Amino acid sequence: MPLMTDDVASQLKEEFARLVEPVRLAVFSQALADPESEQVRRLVEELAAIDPRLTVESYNFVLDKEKVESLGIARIPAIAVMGKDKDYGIRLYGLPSGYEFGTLVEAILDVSRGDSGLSDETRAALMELPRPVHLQVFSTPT
Amino acid sequence: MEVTGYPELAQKYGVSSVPKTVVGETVEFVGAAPESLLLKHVQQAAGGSTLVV
Repeated sequence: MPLMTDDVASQLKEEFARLVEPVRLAVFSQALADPESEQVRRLVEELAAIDPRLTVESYNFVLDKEKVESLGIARIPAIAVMGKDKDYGIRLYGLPSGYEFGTLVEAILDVSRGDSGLSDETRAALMELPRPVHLQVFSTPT
Repeated sequence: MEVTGYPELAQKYGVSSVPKTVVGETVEFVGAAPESLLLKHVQQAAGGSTLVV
């Protein structure tokens, strides 16, 4: 049984009409340790089936150690939202339900556009940063 | 990050209201921040200039 209703799927089809470049979604789950993470994998697979420009790579958090390390995955469930040739470092952790589902869709659209929407001034200032900075945004589904 | 599933992280970063943003482990704020303020936070966390261009 699909996790996504037909209504949601058709809304997403409209949203994804705005996609520009292909987007890769790498999902990390582990059925034994975290059954909920399997739900996330299924959800992302359903989401990607809506538009051919979206592709899914599914990984096991325990078995696919190399991928876990190369993409810097800290915990599960995790979704890495990546461009065709570029990884912008966007990682979503936890269940993408409620408000967070919208965050996932927005992340996909941003990556597809290859544009964060930041001003030229901000971009120039960020180029001058002396070292990488990790930003973590904590939220709840409601 | 949907924090409900990670109570240990909520505790580590003292997440009581959301959205809470932690920048480079040293700077944090709750709620939305305008772009210029977010940049300032990032610069502060990176140990660079805190002057907003």
